[in-house]
Amino acid sequence: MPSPPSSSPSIPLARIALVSIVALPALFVAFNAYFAGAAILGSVVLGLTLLLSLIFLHPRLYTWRYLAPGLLAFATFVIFPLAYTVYIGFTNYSSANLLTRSDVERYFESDRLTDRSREAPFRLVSDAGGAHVEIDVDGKTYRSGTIDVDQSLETDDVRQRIALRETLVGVEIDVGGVKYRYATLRTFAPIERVWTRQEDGSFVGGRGPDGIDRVVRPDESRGRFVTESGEAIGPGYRVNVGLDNFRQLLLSPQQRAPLIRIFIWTVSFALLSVLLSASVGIVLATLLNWPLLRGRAVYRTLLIVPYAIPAFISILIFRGLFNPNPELGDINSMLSSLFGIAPEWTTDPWLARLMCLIVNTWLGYPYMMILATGVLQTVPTTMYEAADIDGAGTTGKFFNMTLPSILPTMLPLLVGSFAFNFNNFMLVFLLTAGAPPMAGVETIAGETDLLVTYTYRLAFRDSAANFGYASAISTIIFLVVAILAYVNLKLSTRKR
Amino acid sequence: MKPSPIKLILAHAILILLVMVMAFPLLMVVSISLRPGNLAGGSLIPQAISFEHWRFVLGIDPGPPVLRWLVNSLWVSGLSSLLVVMLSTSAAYAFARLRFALKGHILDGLLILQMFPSVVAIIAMYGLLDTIGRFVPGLGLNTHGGLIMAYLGGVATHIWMIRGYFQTIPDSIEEAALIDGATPFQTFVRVLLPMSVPALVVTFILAFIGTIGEYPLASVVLQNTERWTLAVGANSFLYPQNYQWGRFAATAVLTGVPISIVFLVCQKFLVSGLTSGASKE
Repeated sequence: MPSPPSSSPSIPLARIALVSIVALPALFVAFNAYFAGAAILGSVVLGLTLLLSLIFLHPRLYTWRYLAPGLLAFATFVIFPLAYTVYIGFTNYSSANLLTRSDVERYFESDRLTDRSREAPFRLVSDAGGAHVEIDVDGKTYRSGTIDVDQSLETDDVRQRIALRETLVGVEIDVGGVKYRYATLRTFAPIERVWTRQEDGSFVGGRGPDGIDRVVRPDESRGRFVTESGEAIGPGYRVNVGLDNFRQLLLSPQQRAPLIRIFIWTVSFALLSVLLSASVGIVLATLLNWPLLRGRAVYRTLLIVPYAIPAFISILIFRGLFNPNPELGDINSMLSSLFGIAPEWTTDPWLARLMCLIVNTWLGYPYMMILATGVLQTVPTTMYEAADIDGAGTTGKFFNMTLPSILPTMLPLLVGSFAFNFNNFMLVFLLTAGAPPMAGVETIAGETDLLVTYTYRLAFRDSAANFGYASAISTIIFLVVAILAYVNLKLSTRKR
Repeated sequence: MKPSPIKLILAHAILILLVMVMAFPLLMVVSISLRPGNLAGGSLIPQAISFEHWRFVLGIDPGPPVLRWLVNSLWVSGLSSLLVVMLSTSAAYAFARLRFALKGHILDGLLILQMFPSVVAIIAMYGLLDTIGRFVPGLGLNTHGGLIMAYLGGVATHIWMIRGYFQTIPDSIEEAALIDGATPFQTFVRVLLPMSVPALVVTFILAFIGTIGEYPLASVVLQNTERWTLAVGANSFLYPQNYQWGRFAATAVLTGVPISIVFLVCQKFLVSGLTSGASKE
C-alpha cells in the first residue's frame, strides 16, 4: 500500500501553473455570478475552487486528488438534485404554486391599469435642448424631460419608435398631477399602479367588483395573497407545507388506494422480472456450459443480442408489434391468422401487465445468462463427474448441484437487478406509459404504472404538474430502495 | 461419458426455439422498414418492397435529421462515458489502494445515494443547468455540453466495479515500483492501468449503454430537434397523434445495427468483466 509522499520542500512550478489554468476561469465565473446577483452560487463556486486548488497543491491532501473530481461530479449531479427533490417534497411547488414569493410581489408591483379613454398620440421631437416626447391633452402641449438617445428623433417614424421602445417605457409626462406613460406605439395614456405596497408587506388597491380598494396579505400556509374575505388574488407561490404531501400520500384514501395498488404491482413486476429473466438466463447458461454441445459460441452470441440493442429501441419495437389492431400490430396479425384471436394488449390490465413482463424478460435474460455463465466457470467440473458416476439425472444435477452452487454468488446481483427493475422507468414509460388507466380512482394512476412512472407523470403532467407531491413519492421510493441497497451491501460484504 | 443423442437434440431444440423468439421482433422490424406506408401490416417477408422509409432516414428525402441524432447520441454518450471512466478510475484507485478517513462510509454512501429515482430529480437538474448556463455558455440547457456534464454524476457503480477489479490485482508489483522510487501516481498510470484495460473497456461499454438509451433527462434538456439524441428522436415517431411506424422501424435498424455490432465485438470483455464483479468482489 503506497503512502502519500512526505511533504516536499516546494510545490513544482508546473503544478501551480496547471492548477491556475483551471482555477482562474472558475474564479472568473464565481465573481461573474456574484456580481450578477447570484451570491450563493458565486460563493459555492469560489469555495469549491479554493478547496480543489488546496487539494491539488497541499501534499497532505494527496489522496483526495484522486477522489475530488469524481466525488465533485457525484455531489453536483446526484446529491444536490436528490437533496433539492427531498426539499421540494415538503413544499407545495406545483403548476398552481410555481413562483417564489418575491416573483408574486413583483407581479403586484408591476400590475398596471391603463386608462384607454384618455389615450393621447405622442410625438418624438429633437431640438437644441435635447430629445423629448410630446403629447397634447385638452389642447395643451406637455413634454417629457430630456430623454437619452444618440440619434435625432423623427416625429413619427414607427421603426424608430420600435427601436426606442425600451427607453420610451421609462418616460413619464406630468399632466396636471396625472402621470402619462407609454401605452402603445402611437400613444401615451394615464397608467397607474393597481396595487400599492404597504409597510407590513400587504398590498392595497385593485378595486373589487364594488369599486372599493381591497387589502391582500400573504397567506404563508397556502402560498397565495388573499383578501380579508379569503379570496385568493394573483398567482400562487411556493411555501413550505411541512408533512402535508406525505400526509396526503399516506392518509388520504383517494390518494392512498391507487398508490397501494401501484406499489403492489411495482414489487410484483420487479420480483417476477428477476425470477423470469434469471430462470431463462440460468437454464441457457447451464445448457451452453455443456461441453458436448456443438455450436455453443454461435448460440451464445445470438442469444446475447437483446442486450446489445439499446433498450429504448427494443422497447419501442415491442410497443409497435404489440399494437392490438391486427392491421397495425404484427403480433396480433399473426395470432389472428393462426388462432383467430386478437388480445387487447393495451386495454386489458392483465394482458398489459403480461406484455410488460414478456418484454422485460426478453430484455433481461441475456444479462442473467452472462452472469450465470461467469459464475459457472467457478464451479469445479469434478463435482459433476462424481455425480455422473452416482448416476444422477440432468434435472437432478441442475436443482441439486448447479443452482445451489451459483445462487449464493448471484444473490447480490439478483437483489441489484430487483432494485433496477423496481425503478425501471424506461420499460413502462416507453411501452405503455402506465396505460390502461385505473378504473374508479380519482388520480391519473394507470394499471401498469410503476412508482417511478406514476411519479414522473404526476410531476410533469402538462395540465396540473405537482412537483411537491411527486417529490414526496420519490423520497419514499428512495427510502425503500436505499434499504434494499443497504441489505444488498451487507449481504455481499458478509460473503467477503 | 457418452453424449445421449436425445438430450443433445432436446438441447438444440430449446436453443433454436429461443433464438427464434429472440430474433422474431428484430427480423420483423427489418421487414417493417421495407413495407410501403406507415400503417401497412403484413407478413415477415414483405409482399411489396419500398425504400421510402430508408430514403427518409438517410436524409435523401426531407424529414427530421435522423443521422444527425445518431451522431449526437454517439458524441454525447462517447464523451460522457470517457469522462465517467476517467473520474471513476482515479477515484477507484484511491478506494482500492490508498488510506483515508471515512473510506468505507463514502463507498457505501455512493452506492445507496445512487439509488434515488432520478426522474423527479430532473426538476432540480433543470434548475441547475439553467443556472450554470447563465454563467458558463455551452454548459447550460439545450446544449450537449450541459447534458454530458449532467451524466458525469453516474460514477458510483463504476467506481465500485473498477475498485473490485483493482483489488483482484496483487499490489506487489506496485510496491516494487514504489521501492524503485516511482511516485504513487506513476505506479497508478504505468503499472496498474495497463493491467486493467479489460475492466476499463467494460466500464466504458456499460456507461455507453446507460447514456445512449437515457430518455427523461435528454428530452428535458435538449429542446431543438437538431440537437436531440436518438432516444428522444425515435420516440417522437410513435406519438399517438402522429404514429409513423415505418419511419421508426428504419430508424431503429439504421441506428441499432452499428451499436449492436460494436457491442458484440466487445462481448468477450463484457462476459469476463461483469462476472469478475460477481465472483471476485
